Amino acid sequence: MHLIETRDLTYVYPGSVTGLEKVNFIAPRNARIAVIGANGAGKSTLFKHFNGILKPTSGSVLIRGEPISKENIREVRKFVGVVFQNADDQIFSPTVEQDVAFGPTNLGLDEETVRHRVEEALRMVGMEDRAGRVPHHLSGGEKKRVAIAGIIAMEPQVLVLDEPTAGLDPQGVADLVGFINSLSRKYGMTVIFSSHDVSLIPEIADYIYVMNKGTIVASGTIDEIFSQAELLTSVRLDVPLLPKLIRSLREHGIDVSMAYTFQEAESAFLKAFKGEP
Amino acid sequence: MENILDDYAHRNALRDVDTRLKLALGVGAILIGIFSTTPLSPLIIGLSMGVITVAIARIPFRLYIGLLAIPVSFAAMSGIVILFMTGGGDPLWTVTIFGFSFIMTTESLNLAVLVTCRTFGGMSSLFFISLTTPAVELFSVMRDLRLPKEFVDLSMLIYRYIFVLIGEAIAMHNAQVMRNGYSGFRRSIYAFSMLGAMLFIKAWEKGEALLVAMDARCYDGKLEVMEGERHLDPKGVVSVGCYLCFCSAITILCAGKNFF
Repeated sequence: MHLIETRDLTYVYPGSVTGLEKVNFIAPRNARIAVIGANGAGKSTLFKHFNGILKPTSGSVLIRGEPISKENIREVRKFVGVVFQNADDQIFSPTVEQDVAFGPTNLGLDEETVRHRVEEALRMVGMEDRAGRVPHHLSGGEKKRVAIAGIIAMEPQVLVLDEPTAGLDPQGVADLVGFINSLSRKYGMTVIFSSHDVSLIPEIADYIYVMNKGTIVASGTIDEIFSQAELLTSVRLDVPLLPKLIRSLREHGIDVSMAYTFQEAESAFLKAFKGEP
Repeated sequence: MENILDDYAHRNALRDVDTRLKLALGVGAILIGIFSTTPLSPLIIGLSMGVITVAIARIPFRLYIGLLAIPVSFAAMSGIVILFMTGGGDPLWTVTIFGFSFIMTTESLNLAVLVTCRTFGGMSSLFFISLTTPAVELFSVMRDLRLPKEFVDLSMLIYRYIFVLIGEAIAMHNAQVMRNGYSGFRRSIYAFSMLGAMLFIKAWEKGEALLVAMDARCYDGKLEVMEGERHLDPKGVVSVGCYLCFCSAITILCAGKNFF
């Protein structure tokens, strides 16, 4: 049984614009899954099916093996937390802590637990000293953190992030990468996120889905996806710089082993050029 | 983002004082001012509230004077009207304009002074509240006062979305100015109407996004008001009590006493 599974999921927007077509997506336990695709490929539309905001036109969405229904929708939304792309759409309470408390309160937890979860969530995103602030005094990156904390406070088992790195500064992106990895490592959470920043993917994902025009055109491990340069460019994406460079060097006859993350590439180059093991 | 009163309220020196205390002081002073029959106590309230707001809460003096000038100038104008429109008592001064004679009497003078002083006192008490108490603090007090939950929740959402709407309006206005949207009278009317129409649509969209966002976090009709540890500072209670008693005493002792 998978945590999230879609079977031939098709969604047609009102006005008969096809959003998704026969999407088969699987999210197992404790996985880090990247959904990549150009603008308008259907990533956000797919994510909105994971917690029942959109309902499939045909096909099905199974959460822990069960289709989403009126009866289990609360359970589903507690289980799958979705962080929207635009943090401003998600933060609606007068203060930061009130916003983070919104989800846990709705789960019917008592005041003590809510307060504890709020503190914990704010600490995890590094915003504990801004609990009493009003959202319109926060920067874009801080709003993003608050939006994530608001979902984390509900303690979902699957965290879905729509374009989490959009509009963040390099330090913010680095923080987020560390954060996502710790969620997966420490808490065994499954993290699903979308991005078109391909260079970031190897750092935070084990498995990749490639989307184009509402369909999934490829899926596989980092190795499997990033070795298909033609496929990626045909869907308006690209191979990250490091594997691209290594491939080019190999074509020129230099013996460097393939690498995707910075650390892997560093040791591959050291090995190739300095002869270190 | 423009600086609005609420932003000062978030930074003032009395930010951490219990909200209930600040409200008691402000509302108490307003009530005393309204019920006072002598201009003396509203005048004292107005001046002392000004001193409290500027010296203790550390609100910039220039900002405060600018803010106060608006209602006080209105009050002064209505005072002039009262001066010549009401009667009674001994005539003090007569002006003749276009054959109409306007008479200023002792009683009209006293009434005009009283109304102006009441406005001054009331407004400076109101500015004391709005400059020292951020709106977010009011929500928990509203709950304590047993106002309907729906009312409090709605005001919380409205409060948040005022700033979203202001932000959208400023961004859109900037985009229009950048492309010479307000370069002439006709262009201005066109651009402004477009701004209004688009703001309406945006507000609608934001409303729908809000519904989705609340649903995604299992909304079932309950907004949380986080209440920190609140304890009334005894020194504060005593000083606010003394101040209000002092003002009441003046009001009662000098009841009906006028300057003229």
